[in-house]
Order: sequence, then structure tokens, then C-alpha cells
Amino acid sequence: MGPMPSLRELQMRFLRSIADAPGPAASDSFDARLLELVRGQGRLGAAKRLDIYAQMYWARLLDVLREDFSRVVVCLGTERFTEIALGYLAGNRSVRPSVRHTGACFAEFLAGDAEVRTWPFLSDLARLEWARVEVFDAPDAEPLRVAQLQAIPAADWPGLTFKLIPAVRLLHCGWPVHEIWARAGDGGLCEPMRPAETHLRVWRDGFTVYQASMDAIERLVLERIVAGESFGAACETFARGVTAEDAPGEAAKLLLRWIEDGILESPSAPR
Amino acid sequence: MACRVPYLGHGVGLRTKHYPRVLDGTARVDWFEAISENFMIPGGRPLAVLERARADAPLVLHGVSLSLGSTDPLNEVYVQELAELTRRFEPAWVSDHLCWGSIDGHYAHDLLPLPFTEEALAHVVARVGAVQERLGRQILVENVSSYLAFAHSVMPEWEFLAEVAERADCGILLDVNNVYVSAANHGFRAEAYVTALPRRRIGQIHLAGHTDKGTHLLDTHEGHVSAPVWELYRLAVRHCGPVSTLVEWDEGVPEFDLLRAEAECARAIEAEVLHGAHAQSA
Repeated sequence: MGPMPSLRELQMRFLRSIADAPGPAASDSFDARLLELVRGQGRLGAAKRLDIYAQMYWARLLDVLREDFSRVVVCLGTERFTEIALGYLAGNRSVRPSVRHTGACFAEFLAGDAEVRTWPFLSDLARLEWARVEVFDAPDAEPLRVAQLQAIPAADWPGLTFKLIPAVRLLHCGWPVHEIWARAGDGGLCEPMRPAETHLRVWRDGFTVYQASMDAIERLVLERIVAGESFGAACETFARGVTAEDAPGEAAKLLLRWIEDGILESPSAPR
Repeated sequence: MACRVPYLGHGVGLRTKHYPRVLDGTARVDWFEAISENFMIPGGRPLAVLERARADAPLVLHGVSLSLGSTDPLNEVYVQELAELTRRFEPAWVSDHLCWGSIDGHYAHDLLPLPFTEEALAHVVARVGAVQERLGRQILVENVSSYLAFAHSVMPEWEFLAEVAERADCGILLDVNNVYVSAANHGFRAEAYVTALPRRRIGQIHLAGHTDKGTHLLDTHEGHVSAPVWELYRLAVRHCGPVSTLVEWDEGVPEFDLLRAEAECARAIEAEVLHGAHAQSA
């Protein structure tokens, strides 16, 4: 046995050993010098003892991904999901103290992985699931209430600017993943679907996470509001879709829907 | 010197399954222990639950990612977040583990074993001191379950832990189940471990279930506390006197009332050990 390694060297060898290769292959990559330093006794030799840590390392991270991407699991099946997720974890090591960030790049991985591209909607589905994870514990904010809006003279409405609460995500997908998400949640298999440009908003109201698809008008108005335009300016979008006399009523309906959903913060002062 | 934390009685770990009971005020227990990292988040339901739990009972923050034994620099962002959480929720104390969990910026999200060497001892003592300075309070350090030991260790784990506590002036969170699991896995006497620890340093006790995997015991925090662990708890209470005790249950988490019943078992054993059968029935 050579000189004792420093604590740092031991830790480097240890984590490399358990995290370099997933599954049954893990023990093949165990560091020989490290194994010399591990006491093997009783029914467990040094490699088997180290392997307990290797198995736990991968199992823990897999559990996190399975929980955060439960609909992707339904679509792929547990076995295939596990294969793909292990590939992701091998290339995306956790660099944050909390495991909650583990799946942050999973959707991107699914989009870029050649094998996974045979399920072209999976990346969008994973983006939806991750958006739900993000809004679940996004910062709290007091949403705008109808009574607050009613207290503002209607003549001032066009000058109002609105801000989305922090717990909102807007998604642009190539597939109707909200439908796939719902079907997978009911335990249904993911049948092949046609791609369709889909705009979703995902938000938290109270403690509950919701999602809804948006038509072109809603999406455009919301995007302009997010960009900081006044409500009046954003509603110019309506000119494209409805008659001039219907536009104010349609705009008011949209505003009320967002208020009911709790996605708007209190408005700034009228300009 | 001693561990300067109050006696809180018998509590349970705060788990997601029980959030509705916490929010409706029916999760009544002496105290809660919350996993610090689960609440280092910007907002949402978990923080609201923690607010409610804190309003109803004393709270303790228990971390898993401080990585006290790591040779990486302390994660300043993490320590800052822990300090903020501590300021906001004013826990009775803060604890983490005698282990390492990250190196070279890579987090294993596990409680990895240290060699019990002078180098590791000096390193952990310095880290505990730094954390205590940053938090402005004494912390408690918990013994972990382990599945391997290093041949170049120069002292047993209990001596290492006791030295950390004395030199860093921190408290000890004695996990009785972890002692039992490690004793079985390494072939030492669990009783010797418990009684070798300086009693005045022990500020909290953990209890939990484990799983027998045939070749080794695994610290799964699943199921009831086993009979031999209850026996070891009796010994710990005889050794330390009354110490705040908490039941952890993380796999197959039961209904809250069953979890609380496990904490009540601990209360009954403590009463029996300290005051005899008369006090138990009084």
C-alpha cells in the first residue's frame, strides 16, 4: 500500500468511482487505490461496500427525475425512461446542493438525443412538466383581484400596465403536450399524435399548479403585456381578429379570465 | 462546555404527505424537524406549510447538503440561504451531518463517509466553526449510517465525533438507528458507541427504521423503529437523560397519527427509563 492519500484525493477518487458509470457497470470503474483503502470485512468485500454507495447515488437521482417527469415516464415506460435518464444524469452532474435542480436540462437533453428523437413530442412534454415544477415553488405574489380593477375608472384601463406573477411560465410547443399530459395522467398510453403549434400558460394559484392552452389572440396580447406594453396597446392585437365594436368586450373578457386565474399582479399607476 | 439547546420533547420529521394536516392545524406534536434544503425555495406551498408548522410548534432545521467534511470551499450561497432560513423561522437549533457530499462542485446528494484521521478531524472542526460563526449559533452534528470504513482511520467514529464536538464546541445529534446500522455493517458494539459520547454534548436524538438487505443493513428510514434500536434508545436515555427525540420516516410515509404514535413510544420509553413505570402511567 502506498502513501495515504489526502482527504481531498480520497474524496475525488470516491465520487469518481460511484458517479462515473451508472448501473451494474459502476463497479467496473471503481478506483483500485480507493478499494485498497476500504476495509472489506464480513460478508461484504471492499467493492461491494463501495457499490452500495454507487447504487444509491444513481437511484436517488433517478427517483427525482421520475417524480418531476412522471408523464414522460408513462409515455416511455419505466425501463426505457431509466435508460434515457441514466444517460442524462451521466452527462449532467448535479452542481447544486438541492436535488430539485436535477431535471433542469432534461427537456433539452431529450431534444438533442438521437435515440430519443423517435419520440419527438417528449422534449415538449418534459418542458411542460419542468414548467410545472418551477411554478410550484416560484416566489409568492399578491394577485390582482377584480375589486381592485373595478376601483380604477374604466377610462384609465387602456393606460394600465400589468405584470405577471412570478409563478407563470409561457410555453411554445410543437405538439399539443397539454393533451398528452392529461392523457398520461389518466394512465392512458401516449398514442401517436399529430404535431400542432401549441401555446400554453402554466401558473400557480394558491398552492395548485394549472395549465391552459392559449389561442393566437390571447397569446399575442399576453406577450405584449409581458413586454411591458400598456393594456390598450396590447389590445390593438384584437384588431386582427374581431370587429372594432367587439374588441373592448373581448379584451375585458380576457382580462377577467387572467384575473380569475390569478396570473396578474397589481397594475402600476395609470400613465 | 455543553450543547446549549432546549429540551423540546418528542417530535416528528415534517414530510410532504402531512402538509394538509399541518395546514389545517391537526398535526399536533411537540416539535417538527424540517429538511433545510426543501425550504430553500422562493415561495409556494412548502414555505406556507413551514410558516404554519412554526406557528404551531417549535421547529428545528436539519440539513443534508452542508457537506461539512468536503474539501471544497464551503458553498457560500448555500450557507447564506441557510442563514436566511434561520433568521426567518428562528429554529430551536440547526443541524447537519458528519460526512461529506460534494467534491469539485459535484453534489452526490448522499451522506458519504469520512476517514477518521487527524487531517479529517482538523478539517471538520474548522468547517463546523466557520458555519457556526456564519450562523451566529451553535449547530448539532449527526453521525451517519455507513457501509464502508477506511483502513487508514486512526480512531473509532465515536471518538472522532466526540472530538469534533469538543474542539468545535458544537452539539451532537445522536442518530441511534444510524449507530445500530453502522455497528451491524462494521462489526462494532453499538452500546460502546453510545456510551462513549460526551452526554452534555448530545442535544438531540434521531430514531428511524432500517432495512435488512441480507449482507448489510440499509438506513432507509422505512417502517417502525426496530426492537434493538428501541433498546439502544433506552441506553441512550440512561446515558444522557432527557434529550429531544425525533422520529424520521421517509419511505412509505405513514398517516400522521401513526408517525405521532411512534414519537409517543419514544416518550413512553424515556419516561420509563427516567422515572420508572409509575411516571409512565401518571
